[in-house]
Amino acid sequence: MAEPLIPLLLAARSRWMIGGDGAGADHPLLAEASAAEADLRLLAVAGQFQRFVQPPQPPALNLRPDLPPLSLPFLPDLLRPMARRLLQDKSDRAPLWLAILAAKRGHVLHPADPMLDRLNFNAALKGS
Amino acid sequence: MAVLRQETIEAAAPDQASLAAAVKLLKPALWSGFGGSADGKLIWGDCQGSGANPYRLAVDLVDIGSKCTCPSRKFPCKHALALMLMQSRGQDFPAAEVPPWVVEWMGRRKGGAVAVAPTKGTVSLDAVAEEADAAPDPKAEARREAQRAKREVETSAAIRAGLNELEGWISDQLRGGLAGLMANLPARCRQVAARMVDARMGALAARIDELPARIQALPAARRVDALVAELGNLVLMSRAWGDGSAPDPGLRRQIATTEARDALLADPGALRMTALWSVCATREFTRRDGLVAQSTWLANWGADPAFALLQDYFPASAGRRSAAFVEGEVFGAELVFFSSAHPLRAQIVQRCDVAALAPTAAPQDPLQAYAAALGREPWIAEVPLLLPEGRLAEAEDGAIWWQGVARALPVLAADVPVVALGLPLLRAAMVWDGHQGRMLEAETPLGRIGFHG
Repeated sequence: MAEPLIPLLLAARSRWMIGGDGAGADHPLLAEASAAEADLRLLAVAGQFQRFVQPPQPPALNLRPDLPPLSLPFLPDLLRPMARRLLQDKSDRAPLWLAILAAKRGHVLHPADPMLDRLNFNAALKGS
Repeated sequence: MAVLRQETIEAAAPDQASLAAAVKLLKPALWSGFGGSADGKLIWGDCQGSGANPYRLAVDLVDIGSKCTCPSRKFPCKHALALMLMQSRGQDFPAAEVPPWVVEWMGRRKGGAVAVAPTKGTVSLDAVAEEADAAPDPKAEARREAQRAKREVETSAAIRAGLNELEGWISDQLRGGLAGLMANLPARCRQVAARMVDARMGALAARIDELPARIQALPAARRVDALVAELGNLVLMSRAWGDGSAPDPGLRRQIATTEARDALLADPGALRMTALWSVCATREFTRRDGLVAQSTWLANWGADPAFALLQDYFPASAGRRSAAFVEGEVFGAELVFFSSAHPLRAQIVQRCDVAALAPTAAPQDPLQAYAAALGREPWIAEVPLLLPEGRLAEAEDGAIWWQGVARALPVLAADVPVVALGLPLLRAAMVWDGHQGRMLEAETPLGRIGFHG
């Protein structure tokens, strides 16, 4: 009677880790195969099998609370690419000043463009 | 708007070959997005070149300066010359707001007239017309065809020999132990990838060359299983190739080369689809072999196939190329897909007006689509997935997971902006490789969010 495939794959995987020649097994997949050929056939099947095996989900996944609703409207879509370009300037405090400029004109930067540190932002706003 | 004179364009052309190539581009189907500034000084448009991603180009009519996203070292390139020729021949450039990328280009220009390099020999549109009228040489055509057939036979033999060598290498790794291979993965993969290049398998060589990076991006506990999956896939591809007499077109593309655009357009069996396409993500990645892979992921939320990939490669030495699309952009177009059991890679045939369809609901289990894709094309490296409503969450070890109702999937944390953790994702798209997902975009209550590594 043919050996079940899954234990055969698991045993092969353990052997592949440390190396060595393949042992014969009674399975139609390995009929008339040399040791090297049997390993290649098992590897092809193990590869497909592995792509369907999902990694186990961690016992706990921490969900962050929703972002609070923002009291000002976002920058118009037309201006967002320009704002993103300005925000790429990491050399100074561009994000803070841009956010303050937008706020003084009744808008807020989209959180997907920058995520500002609230404490720094408040401090900069007071000093502006 | 002042109309350019033929002599002005001839004077701007770097050589006769560029002008002749530009004339061949004067086909309306290759062009879209024409526009001109209100003051009549700037014109722009998109040209579908030989690559999958169209080139964006603009011409300053005042000093005949031009900007094109193509990698050509000639200036102006054939696309810019073609845009000038179209303007001179009466093409309409409707007045529109100057696009941000043109504003950016104008801002970077030094100003003043562009110095035109002296041209070699006569550059004339009349000479181009005479060349086009010349009768083709049947003997030369037959010689080219015989050489092509000979090259094909030689390539097929080289590929089979290379695949045999690859199988031998994999057997050696199994006999020597995967623990040893894992400890020295980059160097060993580089060696065998170089041999695959010699065997005319550029695409497979690149896949093997990038294998260590893909494995090392995973948590340590999952690396061995991923390595087994990748090596098993290589064996599968080798066996599916057989003697190379009738390889699956999708497999040929993954091993050797991709068909040229002209061949694809001439293929009557190629799947064509006209739809409203949304640009999910644009990615640019420099491969270890020095080629830059430029990928544009398109989604069509109305029908199947739901995704298309515009993929181009160009040498890194050609310099950085501007993206052809803006993420989130939506456009109507007819696409033609490269022949495959799982159509994904495509080229734009032409832009057109398309009515929007109501988006289809994403399946609750996104891996159904992955299983179906593997069933059709078992060696496929990665599959784009449409994700239903879900959320990104953090595990204790800092890993990020997308969590839906039916399933949770690990995603590459480096791509995820902090803001995405604080929002429900109403609908999202990711690329799944069997081990880990890379988020492309998500619809949230605050609008569309992109993900960038």
